[in-house]
Amino acid sequence: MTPPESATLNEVAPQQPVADTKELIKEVLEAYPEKTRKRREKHLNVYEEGKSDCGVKSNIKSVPGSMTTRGCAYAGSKGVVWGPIKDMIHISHGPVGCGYYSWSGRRNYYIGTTGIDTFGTMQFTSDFQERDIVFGGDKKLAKLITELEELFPLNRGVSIQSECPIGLIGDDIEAVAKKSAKEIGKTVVPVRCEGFRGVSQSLGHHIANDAVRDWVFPQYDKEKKAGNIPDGTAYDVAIIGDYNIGGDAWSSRILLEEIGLRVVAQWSGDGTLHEMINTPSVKLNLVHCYRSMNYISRHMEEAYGIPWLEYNFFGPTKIAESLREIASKFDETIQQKAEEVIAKYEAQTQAVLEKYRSRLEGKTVALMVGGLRPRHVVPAFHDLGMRLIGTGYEFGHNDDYKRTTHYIENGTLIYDDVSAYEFEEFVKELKPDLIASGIKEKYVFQKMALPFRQMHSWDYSGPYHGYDGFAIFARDMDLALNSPTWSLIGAPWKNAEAAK
Amino acid sequence: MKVMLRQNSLGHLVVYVAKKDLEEEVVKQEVVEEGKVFTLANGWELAIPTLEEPLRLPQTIEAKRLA
Repeated sequence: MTPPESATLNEVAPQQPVADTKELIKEVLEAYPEKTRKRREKHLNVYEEGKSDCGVKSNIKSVPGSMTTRGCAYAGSKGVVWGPIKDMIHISHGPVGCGYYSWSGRRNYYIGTTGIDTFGTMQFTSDFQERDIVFGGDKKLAKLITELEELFPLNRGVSIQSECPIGLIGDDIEAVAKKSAKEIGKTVVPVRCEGFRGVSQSLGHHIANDAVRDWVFPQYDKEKKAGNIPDGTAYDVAIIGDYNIGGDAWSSRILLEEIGLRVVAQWSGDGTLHEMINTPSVKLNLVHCYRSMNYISRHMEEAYGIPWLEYNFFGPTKIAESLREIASKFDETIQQKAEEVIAKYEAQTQAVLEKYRSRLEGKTVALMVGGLRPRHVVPAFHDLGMRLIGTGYEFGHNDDYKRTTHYIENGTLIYDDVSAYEFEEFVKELKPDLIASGIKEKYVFQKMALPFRQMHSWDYSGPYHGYDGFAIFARDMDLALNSPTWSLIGAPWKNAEAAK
Repeated sequence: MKVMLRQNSLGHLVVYVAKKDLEEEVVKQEVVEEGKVFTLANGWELAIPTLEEPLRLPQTIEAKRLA
């Protein structure tokens, strides 16, 4: 039997009034013990038009026992910020599990010969044993770095990503780093990103940013003093906070180069150590992921006088807006080229919209991701005629929620560090047509017969940045939403309704 | 506490407090004996020591929260 084209194609959900949504939050919270309810109610709210923030508390320790989706500081540093630097070896310093189970999970694409001059998808660990915990692992680490230099002589440097035990037993990885750096004559960066620090991966981003400031930028200062840093052009920019997931940074870079800018560094997707060292010579830092890289951007602004600008390359509306804003920081030739580029892609965008908009118009989506996506992908959904009914961050801070207000409409449900139970209850009640979240949520909702896209790694698709990325984004959303599969799995509440 | 003064894209003076994830525009500046009192958009009042002229932005300074 051929199933009907789509179970949801012709239904349009009505908008949820603010009061009803507030009532829903109350209902969901009722299942908790009083103490937990008090803690959690600060993290859930409904956005009301005109307010300057979303009215939720954030960056607070998760409630013990609840199923949170957060990671740890090690995940933030090794997995997000340092990991994609392709020509460095990143040692997961500590027991083997942390590195092994996070191995190559983020699909940071890169160019190079793995195992020869690039090490992106490789996993290095000091594999701590009981003996190393008891007697300390510094000697092992030093030996490991010497060995790595022998095995992989084309590496440009080493970063030591601490796992929990390193901080607990008090190893002095900084001393090892200094000594080993002299021995191998390369950069060795110790990163104090032990997993127990902070409440989520967010602190790991911060620690990683600080490590760049303390261990990488001094090399720039030294080279600058020696006169080895060329002046560069007036159009030098750096892409900050784009991890090249599925090739995102590449599709962004194409646009920036087309408008006449010279991208000299990519942080950190498909990036190299020397790009990082050279970054303080750029004229403008273009920040995509504000959450994970704002620290270093602010530092560069203060120390080197480099302004930074947040941009958004999801969906044609925001791409055009961002390109114009970026161009406005440069001279007229760039501004003119920006207009040309926007015009050039006009036909392509129209074709995409023509093909998919009618199939997606009026559909609702609920988001729950980390970093910048809970706000940045919203305009892309809007471009396709879809509506956002709820959004939330895993590990966002107050400044993220402030930035979110520009993207969402009145009555949008906001959930910070949402637990598995809460998210499920919200979805049951609000019935979004599509859920865009992570792998940990995926199968729960698919079993509820709800279309789902995994927004951490674009569900093994992508890139989604830029005009070319938007075409892929639209196709993927259509594939997920209008797959005939959904009509074959009955949503439990729909079965109950039908039985009445 | 350590706060960073900077200018946002609209050219307004902004206070950023890293420890509090706070980024707010300065809505009022009052000159007092010890320097200046900044009132932020969220109602905070910060005592800012006398700054060097001409003002170099961005700049990290030590400020005290009054209210």
